[in-house]
Amino acid sequence: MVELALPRNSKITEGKKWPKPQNENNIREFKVYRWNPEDNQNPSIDTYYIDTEDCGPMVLDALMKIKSDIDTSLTFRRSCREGVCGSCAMNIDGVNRLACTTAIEDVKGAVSIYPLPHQKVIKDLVPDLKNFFEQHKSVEPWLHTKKEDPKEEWLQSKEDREQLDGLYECIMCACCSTSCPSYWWNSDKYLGPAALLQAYRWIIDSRDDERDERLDKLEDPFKLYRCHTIMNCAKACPKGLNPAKAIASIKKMLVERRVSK
Amino acid sequence: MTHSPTRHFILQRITAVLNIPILIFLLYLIFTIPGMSYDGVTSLFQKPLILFLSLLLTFNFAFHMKLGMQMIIEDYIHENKNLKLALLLNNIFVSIVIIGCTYSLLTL
Repeated sequence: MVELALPRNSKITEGKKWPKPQNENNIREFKVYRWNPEDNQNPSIDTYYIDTEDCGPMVLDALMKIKSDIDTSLTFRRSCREGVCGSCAMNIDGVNRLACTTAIEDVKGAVSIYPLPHQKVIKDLVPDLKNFFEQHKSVEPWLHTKKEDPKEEWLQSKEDREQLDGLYECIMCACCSTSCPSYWWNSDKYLGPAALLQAYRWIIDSRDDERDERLDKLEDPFKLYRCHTIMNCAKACPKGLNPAKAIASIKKMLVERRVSK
Repeated sequence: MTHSPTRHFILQRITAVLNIPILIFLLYLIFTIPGMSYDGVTSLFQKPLILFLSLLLTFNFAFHMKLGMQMIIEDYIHENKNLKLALLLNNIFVSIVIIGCTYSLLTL
């Protein structure tokens, strides 16, 4: 049965409140989820105060400021700091997004920062995305061809290439999958929006020769059909992609294939 | 468990679309019946078209409900034993609804 309540050792407690700087005018409050697997304590919410005049404009800047100036134990992933790598995906003000592209001034009140929902936490804001990447691997996101390799590259028409727009841009940040209730309840069997977006990206690729085989693999009550078009994925995607539309297109292809049989 | 998920998906959509005209018929019944006598109601349901539409309403609503509940059960119940039991109860409940309604309509 699905677990609707948190286990006792996951209940969030109030954590440390760090001192508020005096005589500063542009102070913002940050409430950050903390959990350390080594101290046997429940997760907690620590409160930090940042002078936004002395910090970059984005939430990631604030997190780096906290780590460098206030609390070096704060753990989070980050790399490119410009919305390309997807490493700093986290739940900010109740929405899954990238810390590097979320401006502090766009969040009203205290900025609450949690790890991506419904994933095991490794430490603080770092979720365990092993299953997420395994699912991506399971859709075999590479070209399957039966033809002889070309001398240079596989060519496709401009129109065929346009079919991939809105699909190839995915940065695998997991904002979409971890915002999907169907993925929360069945992440062990349902592939989730990110993996399915990638599956469709290869199904629709004119150079790929295994469309039917790819569709066969997705014709499963859980892998694909747990999507109930909730649309949280499209709302959460920091790149403005629409995984729900890609999933609907896969379903349409399966229906057409079945009807034409 | 759904053995043919695409078939399940198609049936869910077909019954959903069919529910729209059937709902209009249901609204017609809801607004027509209250002012009628008992004999008026029984003679209404003895009309072949009304009887056919009422049976269609029963089957379609019940079947659509069964498909939807099956999805919900599969979403939330994960243990195999409980899952099978819940799916069985869903089928039994829908069968009772269909048999009960059909019997009532045909013997009115």
